[in-house]
Amino acid sequence: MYLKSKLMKSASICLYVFTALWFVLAASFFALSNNWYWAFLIFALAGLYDGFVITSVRQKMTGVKLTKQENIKYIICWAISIVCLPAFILLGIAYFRKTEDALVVRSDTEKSDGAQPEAPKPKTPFYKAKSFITACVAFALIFISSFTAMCFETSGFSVDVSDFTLTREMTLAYNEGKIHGKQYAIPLTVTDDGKEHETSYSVTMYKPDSATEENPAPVVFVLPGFTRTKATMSQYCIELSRRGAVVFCSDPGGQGGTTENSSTGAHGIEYLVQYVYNNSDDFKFCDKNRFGAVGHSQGGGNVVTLASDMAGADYGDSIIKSVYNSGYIKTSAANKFKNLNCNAAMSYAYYDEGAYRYQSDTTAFEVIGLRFINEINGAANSFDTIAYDYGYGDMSKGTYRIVHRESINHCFEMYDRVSIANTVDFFNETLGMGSDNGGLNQIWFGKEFSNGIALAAAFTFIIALCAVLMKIPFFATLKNGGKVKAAATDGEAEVQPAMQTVEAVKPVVAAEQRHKTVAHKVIFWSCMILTAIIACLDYIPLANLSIEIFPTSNLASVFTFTFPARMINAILLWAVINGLIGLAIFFGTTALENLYEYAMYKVKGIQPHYDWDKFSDIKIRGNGWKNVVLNVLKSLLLAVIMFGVFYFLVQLSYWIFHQDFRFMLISAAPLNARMFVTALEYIPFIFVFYISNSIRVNCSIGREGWKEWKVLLVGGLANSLGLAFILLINYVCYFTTGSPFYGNWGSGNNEVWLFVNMVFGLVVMMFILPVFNRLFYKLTGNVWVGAIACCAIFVMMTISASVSYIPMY
Amino acid sequence: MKKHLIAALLAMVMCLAALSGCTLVRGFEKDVQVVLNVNGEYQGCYTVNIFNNAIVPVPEAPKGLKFYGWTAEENWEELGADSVPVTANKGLVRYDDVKDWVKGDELSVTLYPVFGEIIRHDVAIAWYDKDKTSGLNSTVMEGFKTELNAFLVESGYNPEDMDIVIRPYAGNVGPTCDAIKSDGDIDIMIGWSDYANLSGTGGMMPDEVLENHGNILINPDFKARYTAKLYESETVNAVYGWILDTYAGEGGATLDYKYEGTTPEPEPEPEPEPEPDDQSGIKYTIGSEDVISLKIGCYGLFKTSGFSNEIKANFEEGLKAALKECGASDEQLAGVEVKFYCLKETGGSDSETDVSALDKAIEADGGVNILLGGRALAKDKAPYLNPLIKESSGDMAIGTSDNRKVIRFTNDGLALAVYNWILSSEGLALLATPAA
Repeated sequence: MYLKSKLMKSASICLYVFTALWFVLAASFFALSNNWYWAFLIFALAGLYDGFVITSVRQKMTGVKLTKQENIKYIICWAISIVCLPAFILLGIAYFRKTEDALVVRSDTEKSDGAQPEAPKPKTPFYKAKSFITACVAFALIFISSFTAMCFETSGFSVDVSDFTLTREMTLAYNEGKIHGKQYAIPLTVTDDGKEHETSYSVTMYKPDSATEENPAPVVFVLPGFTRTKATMSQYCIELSRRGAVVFCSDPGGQGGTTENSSTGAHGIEYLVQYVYNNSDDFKFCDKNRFGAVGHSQGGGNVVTLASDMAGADYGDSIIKSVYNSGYIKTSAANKFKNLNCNAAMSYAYYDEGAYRYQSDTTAFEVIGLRFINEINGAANSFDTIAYDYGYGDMSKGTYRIVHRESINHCFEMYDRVSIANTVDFFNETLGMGSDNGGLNQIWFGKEFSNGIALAAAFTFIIALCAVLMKIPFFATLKNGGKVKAAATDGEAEVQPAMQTVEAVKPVVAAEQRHKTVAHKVIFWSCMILTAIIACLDYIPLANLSIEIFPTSNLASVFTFTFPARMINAILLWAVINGLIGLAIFFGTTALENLYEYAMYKVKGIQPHYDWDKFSDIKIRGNGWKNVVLNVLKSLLLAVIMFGVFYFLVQLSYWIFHQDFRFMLISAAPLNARMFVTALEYIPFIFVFYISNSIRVNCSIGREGWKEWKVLLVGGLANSLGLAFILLINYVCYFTTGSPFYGNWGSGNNEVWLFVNMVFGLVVMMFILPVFNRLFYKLTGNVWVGAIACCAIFVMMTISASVSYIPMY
Repeated sequence: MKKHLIAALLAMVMCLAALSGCTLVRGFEKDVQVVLNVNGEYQGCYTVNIFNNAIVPVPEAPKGLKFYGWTAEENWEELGADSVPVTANKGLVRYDDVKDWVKGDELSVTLYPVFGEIIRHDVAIAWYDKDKTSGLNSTVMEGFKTELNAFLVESGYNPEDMDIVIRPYAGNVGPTCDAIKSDGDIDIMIGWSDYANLSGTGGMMPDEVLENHGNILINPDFKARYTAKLYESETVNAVYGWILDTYAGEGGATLDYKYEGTTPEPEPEPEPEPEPDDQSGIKYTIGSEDVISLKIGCYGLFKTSGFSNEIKANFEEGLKAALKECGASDEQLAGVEVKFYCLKETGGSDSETDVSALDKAIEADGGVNILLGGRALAKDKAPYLNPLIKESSGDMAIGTSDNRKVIRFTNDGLALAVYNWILSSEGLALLATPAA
């Protein structure tokens, strides 16, 4: 390659890198509401298009000296490349390069991917097939990692972990469900038709072996926050139980496996506490004089309510002896501080995004913190400053107070090592757990990591399973349209023609791909950037719109069958709108490009290269309409099998090991009726986004003639960068001003900051989605199977990890 | 392969850089030291940044003045208290308050308290903007304002030339009272509760509330609330008197508190919280000439309402005994009725005994003053009763049910008194399942 060509190539790469940097800068300035972001946006696009033109000039070069026309282009590009100084310098050096090199020119055709038709693969028995081996390995990995996770969860089998369902009957069984003369029984739910329903709470109990009737252990009740399930608090449960406490963790109303929708009172934790306290038969290993409670976010407010309601006359009378409020500083909770008759701790993340709401004389964290250490029943303190991590008061009298501020944000606070250590140490001291195990010595991440491996293995398994099933003649027709059905007589032989048919398409497509002009690249990448920008900018406005238009809106007390998953409604709108935009752009640009070809043919007589083949993979293959219908049903069946197998694996893992598949905010929990029915409502709508993505990845990006890794990478980035930039904008603003960019929104001043928290998990899922869509496409030959399967699984995962106010009892 | 390895390595390095970069964000937190200077004296130094606020002592305002906030302008008195920018809060200083006042690269800023006159108006009325508690909203207050203007005209004032302020205060009692004290210019409060609530939860001092009266119905479709006078002037006294005359419920406005060093005997008023108190007997006097009309409905679907024939009989007997102690004669007691609607002693609900049926039955019978044993009377199921609800208790125990409600539909004094008595321990005891 000419040195000049090398320099030009380096310059174009620099331009692309700087394009990315300019986009980041544009987003940052947008976050600061500084109009300079327009300039950076222009620089980014200029750099990108400049890179295309430089590449085009380089590809047409036949020698060091350029033609007159190419020279003019080069000079213009050189001038524009000032937006990227390294490129400007490189292009300058290249421009003045006048002598030929002695290096051999390598032909570009040697580098083309897929130009050589592949030799037919030799027949292998099914058990030696790569897909089968992969499936087996993935299956084994699921069980190995779930077993490992179980080991961590049970702290090496020294803690017994079990689930039970708390019913109304149970809460009325002992002492009429009363504590201090007040009843805490699960009430009957009366629907508008006057009918009464019994509801229940899903509970997990962690009982260490050391907790016995002879040696009863302290008890800690753990309550998650809004949209979280008890599984997201397992780290507290593990660390407390391995230090000798019996731990109960329940799903709050409307979340997880709990069928109660109401969020009144203390979100159901009061019924559980009453039941455990009064039950004189089943919990003799629990020390009724050493009850504690911890909650995060809304759960933190709930445990303060719990401790306040059950405070009794004094510390000795209080049911809850220690309470830990993590991440909740509303004045409604603060007003209860003076009613507490127990030791208490409070923590609020230093980078809690929600703090922007509390900036007044009565609501600021500093003010609430002072109230926390001053308003203590029986002790009227008058501290005027707070020392964080400092213990005030007297533990033996129930007047102990401590305030923490961990360097983390709101949604990750419960995964923060220091935050967990503070919680564990607090209960260790105040409940006399007697553990020598320091709070920072934690093992919960082993479970999280193992569950994460299981999740990845489960996805790998279903992909491999799909490959295995595609070898069966019944499903093989999806790829070959049913051509080999008549010839099918035995095993592998019938597969070969189908595979050859599809594999043969690749070199045909590659051969027919027209030369990628600058114009095409500009259109392609501009569409990519445009859809990412739209996806970035419309997420929060659509989240705000969802608050306005859906029945559940912001009201926890609205129970409805109509789109009852309050937070997912935002995703629904976003998915539908952006899915439709994606489809419009795909079909629109294809039509326009072909129209342009036609116009050039008519005006200049240039041979047109139409690209209607893009649409061929959208169609379901089949000889005749009957085969097409059959293959449509088979596609659906295959997707349903993928979904069913995936969740069967989840359920199997839960039955055997009490483990689901998760990693922090991304989780696949066992199905329950409420969440399943809720998901069924959302899947058809959100599917628009998934099929749109599958079409774009396979029929657009996948046809650019790139290597497969590049197709996957570009597809993943294209689908997730928009969301990633939401985080970038939000947190650039947050870390420079102290307030998130997306705090409140719209004329209704709705709080939208929690919708940004959801994006953390969404970004990862949206990066993986195109990869799955691509893999399923390559296995099945159509864009539908992957889209359906991924939509069903991902939506089910998302809804199971959120809140649903569906009135199903 | 090499490229893949390089790409993977690059990705890992970028992730690590991003994670470690999180610690770099501390660099964005510029600390500013805030020095407070009150009357030339150093009062303290506090550090603020974008994630940390500072609680500062609120200086006492000289008599007749109020504290506006903190300013960086040392010569604010020359510029005028109304002209200088001040902090958003008085006892809390934020980075956002001072970031524009820090000069150049300096690390500290000195703040001075700004005191200014309390700007008084001809009459300033605060209303409790929490309609589920006070029954007041912008529509109701528009009507109030119209009537106020009409009264002022009748009284010889010209509202158009007057400085009349009618200001909402949203939030709970504590923050709203704080805000009213902070504003310092309110003359009359409407929609709040009794003085015990204003002083206990609201933090109002004895001399900050001059008078407080109950049984005030600004919204006639809601329960009675209170009105308080905070300031004395001819106009304020006239308006306050007009409120007491015009909006008092049956029996007239009741004096709850008067500041002159003595506090009159508090009269019982309806409370929003359903907790039973130690009330003994019905707080009501029945004159010999009074005509009593009191109808108490009991939801007859036993399985749901918790009722039984025994409980109803006990209750009726106890009610009449209590009314006799109020002075009712046997003839007058004939006007007291306790009856079942949708009676069904066994089995579940059906279309003849569900909420809709209950609503229709009561409507057909001309309504009731109080309903026992009901619960949710949603508008679509109880179109007759729902709009009439004046007050509803929290969940109470009636017989076998622990989540029933006592609901009042009329505002007359007797219904009010009986309602309160039902919620007392004496009344509730009559609704429990009798001991075998």
